[in-house]
Amino acid sequence: MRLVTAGVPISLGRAVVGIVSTHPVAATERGKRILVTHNLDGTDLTGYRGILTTADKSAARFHVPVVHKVREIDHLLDGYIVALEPTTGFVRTVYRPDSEHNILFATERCNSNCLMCSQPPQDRDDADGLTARNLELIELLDPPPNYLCITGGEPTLLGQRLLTLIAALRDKLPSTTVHMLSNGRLFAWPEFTQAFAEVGHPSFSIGIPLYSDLATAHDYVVQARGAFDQTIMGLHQLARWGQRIEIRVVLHALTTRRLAQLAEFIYRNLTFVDHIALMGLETIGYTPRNLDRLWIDPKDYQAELLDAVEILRLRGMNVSIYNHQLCVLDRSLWKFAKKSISDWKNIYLDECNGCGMRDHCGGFFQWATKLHSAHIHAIHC
Amino acid sequence: MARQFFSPEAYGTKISTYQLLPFRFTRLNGREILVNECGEFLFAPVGTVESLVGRKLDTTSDLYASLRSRQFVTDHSSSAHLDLLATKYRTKHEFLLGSTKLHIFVVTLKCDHSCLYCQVSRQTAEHDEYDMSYRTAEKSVDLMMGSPSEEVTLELQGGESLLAFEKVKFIVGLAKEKAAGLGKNLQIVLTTNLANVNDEILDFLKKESILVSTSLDGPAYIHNANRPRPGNNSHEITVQNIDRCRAVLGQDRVSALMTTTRLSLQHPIEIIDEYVRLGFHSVFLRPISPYGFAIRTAKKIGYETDAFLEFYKKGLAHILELNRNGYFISEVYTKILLTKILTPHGTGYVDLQSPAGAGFNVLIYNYDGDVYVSDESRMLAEMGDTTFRIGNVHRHSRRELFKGEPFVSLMDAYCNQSLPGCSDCAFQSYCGSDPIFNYATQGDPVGHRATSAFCKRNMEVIKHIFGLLAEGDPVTLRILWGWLTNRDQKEMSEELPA
Amino acid sequence: MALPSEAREPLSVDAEKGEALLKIDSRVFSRDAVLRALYWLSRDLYSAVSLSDDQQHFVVRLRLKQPAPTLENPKPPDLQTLVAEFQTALVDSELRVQIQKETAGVRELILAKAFSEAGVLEDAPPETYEDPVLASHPRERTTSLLKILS
Repeated sequence: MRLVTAGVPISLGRAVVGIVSTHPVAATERGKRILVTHNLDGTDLTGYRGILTTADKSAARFHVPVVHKVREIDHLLDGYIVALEPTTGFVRTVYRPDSEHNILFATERCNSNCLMCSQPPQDRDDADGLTARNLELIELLDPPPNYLCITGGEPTLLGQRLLTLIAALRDKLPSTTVHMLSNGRLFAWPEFTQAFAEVGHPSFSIGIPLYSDLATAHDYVVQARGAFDQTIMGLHQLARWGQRIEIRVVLHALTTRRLAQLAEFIYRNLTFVDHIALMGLETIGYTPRNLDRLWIDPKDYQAELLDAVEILRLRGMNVSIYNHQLCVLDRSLWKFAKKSISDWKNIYLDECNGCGMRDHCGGFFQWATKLHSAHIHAIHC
Repeated sequence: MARQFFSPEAYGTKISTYQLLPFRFTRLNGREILVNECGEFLFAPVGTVESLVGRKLDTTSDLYASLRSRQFVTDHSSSAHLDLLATKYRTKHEFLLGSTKLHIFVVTLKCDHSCLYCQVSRQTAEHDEYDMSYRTAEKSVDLMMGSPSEEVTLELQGGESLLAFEKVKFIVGLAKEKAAGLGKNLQIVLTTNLANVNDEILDFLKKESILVSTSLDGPAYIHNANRPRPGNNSHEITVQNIDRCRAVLGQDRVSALMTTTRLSLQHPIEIIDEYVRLGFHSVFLRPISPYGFAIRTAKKIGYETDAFLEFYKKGLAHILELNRNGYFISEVYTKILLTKILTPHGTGYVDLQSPAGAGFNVLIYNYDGDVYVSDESRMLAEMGDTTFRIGNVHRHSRRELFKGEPFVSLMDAYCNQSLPGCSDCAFQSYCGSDPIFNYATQGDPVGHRATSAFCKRNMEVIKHIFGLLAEGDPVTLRILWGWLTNRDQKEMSEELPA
Repeated sequence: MALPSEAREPLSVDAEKGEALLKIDSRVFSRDAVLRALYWLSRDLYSAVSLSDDQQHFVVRLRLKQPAPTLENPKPPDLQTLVAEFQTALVDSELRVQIQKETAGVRELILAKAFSEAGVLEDAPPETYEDPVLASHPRERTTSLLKILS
C-alpha cells in the first residue's frame, strides 16, 4: 500500500495538511481541500489549500501551494488526508478514513535503540514540524475516527508538545479512543506523569514494552542502560494516576527463554496493567541487522508461550497474541490470537491458499516474504 | 549518525557482588522455601540460602536471576527498586486503611438453642434484660460510624439475633441513616439460626438488602448433636428456612458457617457433602475454638489440633475432587491463605492479620454496651475474665477505647513481625497474630510459639498448601486460581489455553 | 540424620538416657542462633545454656520432657532425632541471624517508604533520559521535558 510519494513543490512556503479531493469542488468547500488531479487545465484553483498534480507545471505561476510532477496519485482517494512537505516535495498520506489503523506520528527520535526496532530512530529535530502537522490533522478529522494511535520514535520526547497534542485530541475529538506507544521511561519523572495525567483525556491508553524480568536482559534488548529501571518506575507513576496501560512483549530469541518468569513478574509487580500483548517479530528496520541474535522460529517457542499465557490467564490478566499465524501457534492458544497487523502492511503467502482458517488468521507482515516460520502450512478443516 | 549496537556485557551482566534484601526461609519436603518481605516465595534446592549468604552462589545462574527479579537480592546492575517493595508491602497491608471496618453488635443473649460450644446464650431470659437497649444501640452506632473507614460492615449477632427483632430494625434504620449522612458504604449481615424466621422478617431483610449468615454443622446427625433445641429439629428447620430465605432474598444472599466439635472432626466428607447438597459454593473448615465453659488443657488442645489437621486435609482433598468433577466449591481458610501466598493482596479476615485484626479491624459491641476487640475476648468476659474489655459505649469515646490500658497492654503482641518464634518464621507474611488466643491458652498475650496451637495449626495448613503448590498439578492449580478469581472450572477452561 | 554439607559445626554429643550435652563453637555460632534453635525444641526438651570457662563454647544441656512412653503418649520423641533437628536448626538460625543483621537497615527503609506520604521518601529516577537531539540543541530545552520539570 502506498503511503508516500513525492513531487516538486511550487509556492509551498510551509508544510500543508489537507483533505484530498479528486474532483473540483465549490469555492466555499475548498479551504480545507487539496485538489489531486492529472490535469489542471481550465480548473479554477482559487481557495484550495493545495494542489497535487502529475502534470509538469514548471512554466506556470500559482498563488496557491502546488506540488507538480508527483510520481503517483491514484492511491489518493477522496477523504484521505495528506501532508505536503515544502523543501522535499514529499506527499505523505497521514489519514485514511477507510482504515482502522491511523496514526499520529510524533517524532523519529528515540531514547532507546531496540535491537528489533521496526522504525529505527533518527536523531532529527522534527518535533515542532510534526506537532504542527498533527495539530492541523486533528482539526481536519470529521467525522472523528474511532481510534488513533500516537507513535514514533518515542512520543514522550516531545515533552510539552505531547501534552498539547493530547489536549487537542481531548478537545476536538473527545469520542476518539487514543492509544500511545511509548517506552514509558520518561514517566519515571513524577512531575511529567502528573502533567500528563492532568490533561485528562477521557479515553487514553499507553502500550509499553517490557522484555524481561531482569534489568540486564531488558536493557540489552533496548540497548539503553537504566531503561528497565525507568520503565518500571514510569509504570508505577502512571498507575498512581490511574492510567490505562498495556504491556507489550516482542517475542524473539532474547525474550522467550524467561517468558514465564516475566509473566509472573508482571502479575506481582504490575498487577494494575489492563492488558498484555505478546507479539510476533517484525523482520524490518533493525531486525535484519541483528537477526543472528533475534531469530527463533515461532514454532520453537510454543512451550514457553503456552506457559506464560497459562500463568497470566490463571491470574485473570488479559492477554492477546499478535502477529502470529494460526498454523504455527499451538491450537490451545488460538483463542488469544488477534488479527492485529495494520492493513497497509498485511499480506498472506502462497502457502495460505486453501487454508481453512485464513479468515480467522491475521496473516503476515509484508516483509515476511523474506523471512517467516519454516512451518507455515494451510490448515484443512 | 549511525547508531551502534552493544553486547550484553555492556548492560551489567557481570555481577561480582550482591547485597541481600530482607527474606525468611524454611525447609520443606526436600527443598528450601524462601519468602521475601512481601510474601513472594521461591522454591530452591537445599543449600541455596547457605550459598547465598556465604556469597558462593553463581551469579550467572538462572537461580540467581530469579532471586534477583523476585527481590531477594540486589546488585549494581540496576536499581534495588525499594519503592517497588514498599508499594507491594503497602498493598499487602491495605487492610489497615480506615481502621475498624467490621462491627459486631450483640443485640441479645436470648437464644432457643443450647449449642455445645456456645459460651454466651441465655435460654431462660424472660423479658429484655439481655437485649441491647435503644440507648446502647444509639451509642454503639455512633461509635461504629466514628471509625474512619468508608466501608462499614455491620454484623448483627446474639444469642439469637431475631429474638430481638425490634432492636434489629431500630439499629438497621439508624445505621443506614447515619451512613448516608457520612457518605459511607454500609453492608449489613444478620447472623441467625433461622429458627424464628417469618414473612415479616423476610420482607424486612429483603427491603434492607441484608445478607444472612446461618449455622450449618453438617448432616442432621451432626448438626442436631451439636445444636440441641427443644424438639431436636434444628437441622430440619435450618434447611427449610435456608430455602425460604433464598426464595425471598436470592440464592447467593444466604451463607453458612460450621462450628466444629469432636464429632464434626470425624466426618469431614459428610459435612462437605451436606453443603453441596444444599447448593452452597463455599465452606469454611474451621478449627475447634479453645474457648469453652472450661478452657481446655494444653494436651486436649494438642490432640484437637492434630485431629483438626486430619479433618482439614481430608476435607480439602474431597473439596478439590468435587471441583474436579465440575461442582464449584471453595474452602474459605485455604482461599484466605492462597490470597496471601499467591496474590499481591492481604486479607480482610481479622483472625489472621498482623497487626492483629482485633480492635484495628473488628470491634464487638455487647448488649450491655461493653466493647471488646474480638468475639473471643467477649467470651472470656462471660467466663469471668474481663482483661480485654476495652471500654463501654456509654463511658468512652473511640479514642479512649484505643488508648485505655486494656488495649494498650495488648499492643506488644499485635505484630508477629516482633514475636518470638514468628520474627524469623518463613511463613510470617502468611500468618497472623492472635494475642487473645495466646492469653486464653497459654497465659499471656505474647504466647509461646513452640507449644502454640495457633502456630501449629497455621504452620501445618500453610505447609500443606505449599505441598500442593510444589506438586504443581495443573488441574489443582486451575481450581485454586478459580477460587481466587471467582471462576468455575467451565469458565476456566474457556478462558485458559484449552 | 542430616548434617550440614560442610563440617563446620564442631560439637560433641554425649548422649545419655534422655539427656544430651553439646558443645557449640561460639566463634561459629552466635548466642542468638543457639537460643532461637532451642526455642523451637522447647516443646519436647528442657534446655540449659551456659558459656564454657574458656569462653570458646556454649554448653547446652538437653533433657527430654517425656523420657519414657506413657498411656497418653505412647510414642515420645526420640532424643537422637531431636539432637539432629537441633543441629540443622542451629545452622538455619545462624543464617537467619546473618540475614537479619545484613538487611535490618534496608527493611526499615522499605517499611518507612511503605507508610510515608506519597513522594516523600521515593527514589528519584536514574538521572539521564538521553534525548540525543536535546543534547545537541540547547534551544530544545525551552519546549521539551525540562520545561515541565522546572
